[in-house]
Amino acid sequence: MLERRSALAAHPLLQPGKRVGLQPVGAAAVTLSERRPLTILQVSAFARTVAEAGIHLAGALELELPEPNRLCSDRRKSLRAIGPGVWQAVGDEGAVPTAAALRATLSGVATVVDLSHARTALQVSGPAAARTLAKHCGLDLYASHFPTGSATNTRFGHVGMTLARLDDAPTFELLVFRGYAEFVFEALAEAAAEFGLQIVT
Amino acid sequence: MQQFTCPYCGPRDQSEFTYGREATSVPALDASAAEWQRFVYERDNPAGPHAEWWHHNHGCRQWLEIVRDTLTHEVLAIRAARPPEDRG
Repeated sequence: MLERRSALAAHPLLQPGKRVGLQPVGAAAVTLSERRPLTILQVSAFARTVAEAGIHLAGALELELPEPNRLCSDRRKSLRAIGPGVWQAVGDEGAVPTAAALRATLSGVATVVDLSHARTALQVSGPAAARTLAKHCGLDLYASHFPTGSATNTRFGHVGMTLARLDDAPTFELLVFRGYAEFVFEALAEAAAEFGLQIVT
Repeated sequence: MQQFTCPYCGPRDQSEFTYGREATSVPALDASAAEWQRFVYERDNPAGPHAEWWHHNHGCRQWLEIVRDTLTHEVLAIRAARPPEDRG
């Protein structure tokens, strides 16, 4: 198995406790962290096997099948519906089946692609997290329109991302192409500076 | 910014979508050169309702058929270009 390396490990900003911008006395309005190592599997059903693939996939992950652009999760993993017949299984290593195992389970009804090495997961959390993200994302991120449990493909600037709202802090999780990780990380740090940002590792 | 209401994702900014082409039927592989010439190069360019294919490439990645008024930008209809029952 290939060694997992963070695209951001060497970044000078990514140090535990590093603060950027406003220096609040108490907790920072935004915290930013990279979540790793993470397993990310993308499952695409064939046109005529969408229902069957959904049932087997939910069974394999022991989760409910999410509604469109929503996620179902337990403590260590989640399943997101991001397109017609397309899901992403995201979780801690060991909590999600391996790509080979899931491929065997879904043989004939869906394809499975392992994106674990291809994406970087960033978490933006805190009272000003939505306002930070809004500088680069056109979605309405307020809880009324993008409540906890939402997960969708959208844009961060000119870059595609999978955006999910994990809790009511609120905490947003961004899955971006690994090659854009540095750009997105720096753009988030700059966007959050006016609110006070703390890097968490 | 104009928004399109994707059947899967709901209202999204037009910048999430990429224009494909006008929605016409694709000629058969053995169609005449004249038919292919018309499909590839010639456009009706109507002033009014126009059926178009758009790709929701920064969203659910579906191809959509949108009927859009070229004079007012009003979206008159929007649906998946190939509903599941037509596929395979």
